[in-house]
Amino acid sequence: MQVSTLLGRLEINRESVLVIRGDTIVPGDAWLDKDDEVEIRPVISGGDFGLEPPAITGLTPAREQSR
Amino acid sequence: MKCRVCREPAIIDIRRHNANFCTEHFLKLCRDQTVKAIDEFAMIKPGERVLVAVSGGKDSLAIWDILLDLGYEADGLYLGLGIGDYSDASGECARAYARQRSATLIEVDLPADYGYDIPTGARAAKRVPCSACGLSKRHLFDQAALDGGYDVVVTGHNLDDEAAVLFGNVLRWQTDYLGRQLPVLPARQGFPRKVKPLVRLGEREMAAYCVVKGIDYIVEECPMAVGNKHLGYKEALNAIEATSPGSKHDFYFGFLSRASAHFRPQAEGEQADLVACASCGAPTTSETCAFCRLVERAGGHLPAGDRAARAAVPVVLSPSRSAGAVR
Repeated sequence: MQVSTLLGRLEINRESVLVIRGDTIVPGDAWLDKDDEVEIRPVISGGDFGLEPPAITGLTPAREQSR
Repeated sequence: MKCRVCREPAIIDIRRHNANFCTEHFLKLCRDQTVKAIDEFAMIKPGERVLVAVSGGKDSLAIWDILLDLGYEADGLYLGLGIGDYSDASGECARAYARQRSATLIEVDLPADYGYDIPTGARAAKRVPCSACGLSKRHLFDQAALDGGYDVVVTGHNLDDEAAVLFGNVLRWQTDYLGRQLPVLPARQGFPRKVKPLVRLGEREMAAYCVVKGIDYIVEECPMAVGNKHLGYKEALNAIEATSPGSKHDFYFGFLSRASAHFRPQAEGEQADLVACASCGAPTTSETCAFCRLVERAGGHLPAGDRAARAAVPVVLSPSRSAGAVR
């Protein structure tokens, strides 16, 4: 799955977050493996916008459903 | 996805530039955009002493880092706001960065030095917390800059911040605020010059800058800011940006180039009559400044010896420093 697809499924605006795998930023067109764990880090200052930072989203179906 | 400059693998896409960047050229972009803002708006002159308002968040640590990398003599100022664990964590981020760079960090602690914290102050003054916080920060940054002989105060406001504030000011046609919404506020009547060198860079880029540079910043949002109306403005602008990249940039910089001047005369007129605060000596439009009124209502106090010393030698109410150019 591509990062942009993941964010789309989670209904997260790409302008509002960084996706980080390990210590590395992952661009929108990067492919993620099914066992990858990524952090979806909010970047908006000024209040809560629906994610508890730092949000950890794994790519297994169970983890996706838990979001 | 390839870097626009070198064709190596990119780490970030910046849609308003319609471009992707590798680590090296992303960092260069951040430095170049900062230099461009400083030059375009005459924010900092060579050799000037800079005081960076440091919160421990991504923006203030990023601009401090960029200025140090660019060779500026830049010290940091951290204000302990007394907001529980959040203040503890944000202060530690600021201190850790200062240690890492062997940079000077000045600290002022509201509970220890002034006898109140932001939650208490907001309740006592019947202000929303962000209002009491902003009032305290502005006063103490000004004071620290003038006391320390700094030429300019730098804040980490970025393009998203400025676009959101502009959005709010336009929604309510707050023309006095619109007249003052500039990337440079010149020094005047006891106030230091204040500049925003990150206005050409977005919030996402600043977070990415810190990740790439290994700068630990406080990711958690201030608990007092939950429900802050600027959040809603940012969400609205980001929704527009998602379908029309570059909208935030065009909105803000279009305002500066084509509309800002229309609102400036009113804002300048309102700055005319300032007197020295009877309590602390700071410039104010009334007998006692808003900060001292907040401190009094919150049951706080000025630091020992501070009141007498400042009342005896009030801030000089004439421009004592050259003003930065304003576009």
